[in-house]
Amino acid sequence: MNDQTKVQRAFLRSLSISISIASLILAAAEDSFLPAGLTPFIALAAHLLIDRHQVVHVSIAFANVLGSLAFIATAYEFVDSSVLGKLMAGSHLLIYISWVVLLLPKGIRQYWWILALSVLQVAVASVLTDDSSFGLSVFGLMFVLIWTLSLFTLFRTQLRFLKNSDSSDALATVQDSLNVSADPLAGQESELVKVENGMQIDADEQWVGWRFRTVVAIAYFASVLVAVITFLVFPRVWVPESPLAGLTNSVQAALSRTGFTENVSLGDIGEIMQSDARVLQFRIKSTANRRDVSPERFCLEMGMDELLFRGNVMGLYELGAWDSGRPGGRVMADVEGNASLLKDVATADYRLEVSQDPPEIGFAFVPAPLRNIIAKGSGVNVNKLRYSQSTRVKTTAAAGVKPLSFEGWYSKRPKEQKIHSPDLTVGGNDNSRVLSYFSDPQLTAKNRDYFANRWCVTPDLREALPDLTKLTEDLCSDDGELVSERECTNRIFRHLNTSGEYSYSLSPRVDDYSIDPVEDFLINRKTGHCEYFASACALMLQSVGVPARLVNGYKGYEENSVNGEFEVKQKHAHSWVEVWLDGHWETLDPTPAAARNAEVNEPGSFAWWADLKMVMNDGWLSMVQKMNPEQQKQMIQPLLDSVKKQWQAMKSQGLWATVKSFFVDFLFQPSKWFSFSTLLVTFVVLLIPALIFRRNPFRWIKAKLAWLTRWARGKDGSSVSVVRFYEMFQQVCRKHGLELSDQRTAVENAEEATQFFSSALGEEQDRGLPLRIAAAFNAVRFGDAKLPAGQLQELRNDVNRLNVVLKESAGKSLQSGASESTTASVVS
Amino acid sequence: MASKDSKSSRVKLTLSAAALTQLLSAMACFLGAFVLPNTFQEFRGISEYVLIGLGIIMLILGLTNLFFGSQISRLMQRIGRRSRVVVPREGVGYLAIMLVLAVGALLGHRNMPLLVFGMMAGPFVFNGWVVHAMLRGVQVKRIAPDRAIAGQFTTVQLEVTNTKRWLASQLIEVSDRIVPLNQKGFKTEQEVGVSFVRVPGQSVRTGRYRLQFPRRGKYRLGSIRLSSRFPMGIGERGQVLSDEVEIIVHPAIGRLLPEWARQQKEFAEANQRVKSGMGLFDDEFHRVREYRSDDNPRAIHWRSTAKQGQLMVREFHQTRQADSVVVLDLPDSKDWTQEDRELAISFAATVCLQQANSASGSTMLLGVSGKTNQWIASRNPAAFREEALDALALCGRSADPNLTGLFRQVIEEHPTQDDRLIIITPRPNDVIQTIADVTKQHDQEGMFAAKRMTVVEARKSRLDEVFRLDESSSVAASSSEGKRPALQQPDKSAAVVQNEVSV
Repeated sequence: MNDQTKVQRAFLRSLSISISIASLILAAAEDSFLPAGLTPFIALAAHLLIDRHQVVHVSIAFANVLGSLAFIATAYEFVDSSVLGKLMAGSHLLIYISWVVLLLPKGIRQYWWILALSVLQVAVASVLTDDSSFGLSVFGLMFVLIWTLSLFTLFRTQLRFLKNSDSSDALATVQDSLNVSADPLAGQESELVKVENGMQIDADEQWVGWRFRTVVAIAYFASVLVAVITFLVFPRVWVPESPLAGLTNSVQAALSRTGFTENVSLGDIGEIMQSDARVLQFRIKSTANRRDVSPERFCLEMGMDELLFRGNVMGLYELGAWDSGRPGGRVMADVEGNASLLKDVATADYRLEVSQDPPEIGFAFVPAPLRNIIAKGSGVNVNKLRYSQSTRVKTTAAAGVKPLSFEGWYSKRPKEQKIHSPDLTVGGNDNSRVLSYFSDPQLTAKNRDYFANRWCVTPDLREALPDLTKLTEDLCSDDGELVSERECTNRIFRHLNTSGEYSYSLSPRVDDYSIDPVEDFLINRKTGHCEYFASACALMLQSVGVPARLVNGYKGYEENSVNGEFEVKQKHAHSWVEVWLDGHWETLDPTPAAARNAEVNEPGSFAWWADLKMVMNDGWLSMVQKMNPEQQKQMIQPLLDSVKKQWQAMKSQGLWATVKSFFVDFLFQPSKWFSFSTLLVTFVVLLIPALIFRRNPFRWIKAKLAWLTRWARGKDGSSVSVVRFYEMFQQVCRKHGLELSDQRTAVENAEEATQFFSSALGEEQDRGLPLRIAAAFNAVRFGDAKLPAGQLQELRNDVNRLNVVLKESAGKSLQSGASESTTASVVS
Repeated sequence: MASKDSKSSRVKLTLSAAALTQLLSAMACFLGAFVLPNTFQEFRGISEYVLIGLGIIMLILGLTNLFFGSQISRLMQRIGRRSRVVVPREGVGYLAIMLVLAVGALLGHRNMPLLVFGMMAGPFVFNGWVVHAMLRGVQVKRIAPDRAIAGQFTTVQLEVTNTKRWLASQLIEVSDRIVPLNQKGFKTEQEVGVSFVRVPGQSVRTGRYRLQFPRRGKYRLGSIRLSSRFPMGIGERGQVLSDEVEIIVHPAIGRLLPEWARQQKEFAEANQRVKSGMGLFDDEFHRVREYRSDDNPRAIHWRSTAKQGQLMVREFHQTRQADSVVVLDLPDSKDWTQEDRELAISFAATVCLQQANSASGSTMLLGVSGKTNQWIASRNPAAFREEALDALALCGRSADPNLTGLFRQVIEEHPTQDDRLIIITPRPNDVIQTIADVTKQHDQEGMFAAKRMTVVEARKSRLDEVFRLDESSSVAASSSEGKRPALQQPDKSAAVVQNEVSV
């Protein structure tokens, strides 16, 4: 395999890898393997079957058909789809075009197309994702692209040389389509000068040797440096009211999935995936001493058995779906008045700091009871709702793609609050009992009852869910009489949680599609996840007139093994029940806790990797995603301050005093050794000699000295001038095609010149010119003769005369027909 | 090397780096004027106006460069600045993607597209710096012959010197332009070049390219253009050196077929004047033979006569070869195709070469009657060869060639009666008539009759019988027709028109 083939193969390989990586980045950004994930396989097949072994030949017509099909498929996808769908359609079109180009027989143009499509795919991916893995992948792809482009340059150089040569079988298939199509000389071959381009390469030089690799490595690191600087200093002049901003936000919102759904719909049975994606991270601090408090300690002090991050609260059930009962889940009257909230954090006992990952989904997940909730950052508004006790969030479009930061204030368990009666504890597992209850002192009992009965008892349940109602009534009746509300609660809880009749499963199946999914769960299937247990419990309570509501949110947390932060993940998503008993809400979790905990707490295969990725994402978020004018200002401000400070100092103290003061400070204050101003001054101090060195003053000085030497020597002698006239003679001969040898004497050279130019030196006096010059040269050079100025001038005239005669002769012979009259130039 | 004005030096018409930089600077200034005062108080007031003013200047410069870049480039070349960084077509595409990303990021309030923008800007900026560094301190010297032959390959040598201290120049492309001069209907410029893979610092590397000129004439090589796209090919620096040289391309040389040699020999034999003279001036002893009538009695060799018993005479042969005159007639005739004309010129060149090679002491003459009359005579074979081929390289047809004037010149300047005269013309009858007229006018009756004259009809069909170009040369001779003549076996039955003119 020769060098040309090696470069070609390396380039084609690299090209296939480039497009494959770009497509995989796009697939990851879309969070879908298809169709972008197929590109590597197509690229591999095209590389082997079309580019390398040429087993398959795809005609242009067939490629056009494929391209048309791609357009039709994309158009179908584009029409009647959401914003995200339209963007996806565009990205899919890019992928399909990439496939078509990969399948074509390739020339220079197709190679450029593949590279451009690779970059475009990454560009589309950049709209779809904010993940740190995207950044890392782009850095990786950047190296591959630089390598590929560099190989491409080598390949094109070879191609240029080999274009006129038939020697390369390996390159025979490569069509330089770029040049062919753009060749204005096509069809005029017979008129053209046939050219054979040349190539010079040292025998020991390798095309893709260590030098080339070094250059590419330097190019990569330098490019990364420039890329980072460009990214940091590019002004974030976000165009206000841009429709594209809304588009990208909606895309982000659509692509980011939390595992949490605002409304619960039952019946769509499928396997629930346990995702390790983070929902929020939190930290609890004591307001008294500002120290971190562990979640366990916080629960103990608050009278909670476990942290329940509440989301939506729903009390009305219809056709397999829960609803909060109010349009949008809240009305203005719901917002808790300031009077009921703590106004000063110092009056609270604990502060729960939460950073909730995007996208914004309308809820700030916090445990109850909450004394106040404060949003951090601009564009965010968090409200605590009076009746549902849920915390709603509203953000601006720009803020919606950033993490949501807020803190909740908590007071220790009120005196009247008590742990629920221990008789619900089963099997020694604390997680299975009723967790806590809280009162709502600001509401009158009348209002509370009204609210509970109005929004948390589904009407006409007997008709809608007859089997459930009958089962509940059987369960909660003694001798045909309903037992008390609390007893009903206890019996229903025990029936679902501890009877052993129902089991927990993340992949339940529907047995009977003709009946309500909750009844199917209760009567037929008897297996399901938390939403079924909670729904069944709430509906059973409602069927016997006890107000109950379904709450969804997150239960549980994990500690990140890398940075020690507490994190709530998607797998912690959970649903439970709040029941209205004795004038207050109590929390019930009827899901068998042991089975759920076994699922949730099952360690992932790569937990450490997930934790590391989470930390990287946070770093990525703070450094890249959140880059905005404020951050840019923070970066540049020290530089401006430093320059301003130095300028002021110079104005007040003068330049010398400022410099002196700077260096004194620098020497005696080690803290300044690594300051920004030191960095700036060092840069300037190094820049000045570098610029001077670059101008190479030594060469200039050397040249001036040489000129001075020549000038000084030229004053007292004619030696330079003597040599000069002979040199001029040699130059004239060379100009007219005679190279005089240094190995012969001046006279021999003169004789040769006389003979060589015999045709031009027609006149006798001209024939003697070379010999006369040679004789003078010998006299001075070897006879140490001093020629007077007049004779020197004559010699110069001789040389000029020789030049003129030779020039005239050449002109006569080549253009003798300048006039109509016949001229004769007889050379004998 | 003749240095011509660099007016025609061409720089590729692509977006120049200067225009790009100026437009980007203008954009940066306007953005700065818009953004900086809002973010930094230090930039409020005068700085804002300075930035706007700077932006306007940059915008004007950038637009001027964009629209009048080529003219400015030519101007700069005239005043000595010949270096220009350009963005090739691929680079323009690259920039377009970058621009879309930047605009998309600002409209969509997204940092990720800006990250990809930065990732693309990095290689672009680095590539620009490297291509600038690659050509710094690089010098080129061309070593080219001043004569070439159509249809034959000519090698031109390019010497690249890297004067940088340590930085090697990689993937340097040195391109030469080939410009046909004074050739009607053939003005296509072409490029040829040599790629230098690596020229280490303080080193010289020599590369070569080859040319095969399709037809005779004068060509100009140059200007030389150095360029480099190393390493990524998305930016290019070009440097134009107006180092130009002219090459005279001689007509394609073919070979005379045996038929020509045979006919010339027969013709010569038929006209051989075997004289039994005393050899006083131009003869030398050849042999002793029996006496024939009309022999000079003074040539009788008495000793041999005595030995043989019959009269024997000394025979002297003319040893000095006769001067040969080749006359080429180039009328502008519609029925005389360019292919025929070029073939005739090649034939004339081949005959001249053959005469120069075989002549010893005789004078060789060439007369060309075309756009101008040319008359070349020399006893020096080398000088004659060069001058005759130069004349044939540059001769052109004429609607009214002064053939009479040429023959008059032949008579006046070269009145030798023993010349061999070869006339190559597409109109033999007219030429013969012209000769007759000239001889009458000059009262030189019998002069041309005494000459050994061959009139060759300059038609391909006729020339193919006595003359053939090899494949590459035939391409050269027939290039103007755009087709290659099939090599045909000469028709043995046909004969070159040989006229022994009697007036």
